[in-house]
Amino acid sequence: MPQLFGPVWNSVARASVPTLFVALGGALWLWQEGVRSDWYSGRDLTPAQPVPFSHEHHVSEVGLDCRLCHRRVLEDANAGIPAADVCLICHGEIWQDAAMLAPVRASGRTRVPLRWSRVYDLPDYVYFHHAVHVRNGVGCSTCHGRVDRMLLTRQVQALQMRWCIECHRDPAPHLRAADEIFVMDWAPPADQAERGPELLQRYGIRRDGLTDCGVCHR
Amino acid sequence: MTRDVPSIDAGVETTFGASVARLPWWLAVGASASLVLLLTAAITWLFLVGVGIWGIRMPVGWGFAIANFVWWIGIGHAGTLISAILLLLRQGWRREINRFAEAMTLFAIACAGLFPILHLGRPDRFYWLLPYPNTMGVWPQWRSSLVWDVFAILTYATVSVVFFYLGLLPDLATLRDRARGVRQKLFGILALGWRGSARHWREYRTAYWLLAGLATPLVVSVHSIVATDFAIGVQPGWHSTLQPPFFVAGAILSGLAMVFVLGVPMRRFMGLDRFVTARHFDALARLTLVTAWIVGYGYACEFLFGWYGGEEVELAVLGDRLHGGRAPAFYAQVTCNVLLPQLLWWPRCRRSPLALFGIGCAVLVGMWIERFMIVVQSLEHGHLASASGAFQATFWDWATLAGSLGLFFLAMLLFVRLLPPVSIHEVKEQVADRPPDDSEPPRPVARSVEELRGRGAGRLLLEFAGRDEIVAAAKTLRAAGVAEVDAFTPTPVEGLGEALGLSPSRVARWTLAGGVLGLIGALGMQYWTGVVDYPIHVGGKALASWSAFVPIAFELTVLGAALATLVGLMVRTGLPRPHHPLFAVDGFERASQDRYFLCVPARGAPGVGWAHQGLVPLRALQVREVPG
Repeated sequence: MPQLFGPVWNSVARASVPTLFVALGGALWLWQEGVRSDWYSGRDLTPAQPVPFSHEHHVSEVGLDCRLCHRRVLEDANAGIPAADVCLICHGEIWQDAAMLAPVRASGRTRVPLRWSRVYDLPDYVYFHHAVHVRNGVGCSTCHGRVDRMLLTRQVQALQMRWCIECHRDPAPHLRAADEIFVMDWAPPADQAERGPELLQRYGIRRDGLTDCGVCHR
Repeated sequence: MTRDVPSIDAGVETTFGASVARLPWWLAVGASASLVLLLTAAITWLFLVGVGIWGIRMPVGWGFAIANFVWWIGIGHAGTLISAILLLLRQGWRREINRFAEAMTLFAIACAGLFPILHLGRPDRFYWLLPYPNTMGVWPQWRSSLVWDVFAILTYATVSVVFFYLGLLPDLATLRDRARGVRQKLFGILALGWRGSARHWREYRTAYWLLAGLATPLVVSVHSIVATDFAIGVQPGWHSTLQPPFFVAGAILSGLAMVFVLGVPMRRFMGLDRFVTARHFDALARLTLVTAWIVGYGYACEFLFGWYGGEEVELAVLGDRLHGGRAPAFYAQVTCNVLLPQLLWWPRCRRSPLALFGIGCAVLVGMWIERFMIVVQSLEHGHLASASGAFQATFWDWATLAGSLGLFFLAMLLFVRLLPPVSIHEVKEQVADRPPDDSEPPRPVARSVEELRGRGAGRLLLEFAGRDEIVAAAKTLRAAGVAEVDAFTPTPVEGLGEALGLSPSRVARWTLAGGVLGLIGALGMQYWTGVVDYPIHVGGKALASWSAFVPIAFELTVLGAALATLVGLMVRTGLPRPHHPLFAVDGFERASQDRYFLCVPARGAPGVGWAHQGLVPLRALQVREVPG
């Protein structure tokens, strides 16, 4: 009876099982890295907008307050995008002929809202109340980053559930006093370890149940 | 008919290789393949449109898909019962039927596994059921019986595949040694270089028994866990401790029915009647009768519990069965599962393939109705008036059910054509050796041993005609002090291991280690993910619900032990080893068929001089030189 397989096939056969496992493990690792990547989550994405609105210009250079345009962030479940009228408060007076602003003027005239591309888009099965966060010590820059330095608005967080959970489990390190919410360059002060729990108490945040499914999935 | 070792290979080969009943086979393939096409269409439409194409409407959110799942997974159980439990009980008659019963198990699990995934609505996300560090930061909810299901079925499928493949391994070597061309290469790859070494047989048998021991509790546990999907819910008709044993009995009943439905035509059209005899049918029929009684007892208990509990909704469900809209289904179920099997009290019926085939078909239908009634009828009757409604099956419901039958039968049909439907080595084990006939006179020494030694031959291969001869020879050699003797045989030979002085198998240590690792891993995983990393309060249950951790801990113990047994066997035997010097020896291909070989060092122990005796006392047929 002739040999069906040469001697080298012994090594091949023996190496095949570990190789298979390594390949499978590698594939799983790649997949897991993939879904955590910016490419998959959309982090760092700058969606194209009908008007190239610059937060940097309006916040840092002009010095506008967030609430001038996002008027009801302290009250509403949705942060809200200002209507063209708000833009035209100033741009009815300055740069009123700029071609760049033509869609804003058209919107103000026709009352058809501008179709902005949503930068922070949560899935529909997530119930997110924007004002609850803003009024309980979560500052703008915690989620939106340094908007005052963005030429075009960019998504700075991956918006994956583990990120939500991380803060819901232990909010104290991220909490700010009520007068620091809109501070763009806020960084946790040296005594955040003491201030955090204190703020937790002041805002009346109960940590138990903050990660229950029904808090966000209703 | 003569039943001896050489006749078995040819006998089994004609059942699947040759042209026995080609036309019925092709007709069956055509019918099954058409149903598979229907299944493909049904699944495609499901993926395009969604689960709304089925008849499921609230409150009946579980329709055909879950009933089919419960039905199919139950059918698999008889295969494991036959292959594992009957092995441990030393029921010799299982050898002829265990192979196709195990194949039946595999394909039934495959069909069963299809349904929960289709039912998910987002089938592409089925992996969310598994615990892995995901971007959501959540873990499965260990106190849910639906998660237990995932582990029970994965374990059952894995252990069944391992058990099936291990049982097939020596047969694959036989096929490799009998086939030619591409088939030989393919079987050669699958056989992993199995050469029937006595050392390997010893480890192999231990591993096979260990796996049988591991598969045995799965027969009980898998469908018990499936039953908890229902028993844990508060739906009328579900919330009862009766469910687990009731489900298991039904599973075995439906599985035995499928054995008849498959076995009778296979025997008729594939020439299996030389292996599967009236004796097998008789034993299986008795088992069927017993399980039918257990199932009937379960039906009686359902009524007793409902009546004794006196709860309004429970009584409404039972009333619906007796004289409501679902009464025809209920009476059909009782007739098929309990009344018709009573025919098996008659020996004539137990030995009539046609009667058994008919009863098998009836029980399969009856068991499907039972699964449908459990799933759908209970959901039609909620505790609240608003949670009541009727279920109406759609075309796509029926198409998916029929399609899964097509998938199952197509897989079986391909299996019986591609692999031996009867375990060759196990059947050989219980039949006599054929003494070499006169046309082949014993040739004590092909070439003189002196010459072989003079040429510096390293090892010699001695060929024997039977088991008695090889054991006697091994004893003689051992008594003469010849060391490093190995034997190569088509079946495990009783007493050969002792005659060769082999050390006992060590595979069991691997099994134990794997089981312990699985147990600790499962408990640790559930505790860490559910208590430490993400504690979720569900229905006021304790976070560390150790009793709820038991099912998964059990399943992963079995899984770990089974996989470790396989690894242990491979490590102890040095397989896979597709190249071996022995394979180059002319005639060694018969080591997997009908001849027995001893491999001894040519020089032997100094001063013994067994070779000088010309090997005549050893009664060897031939001596060959092993190259290399």
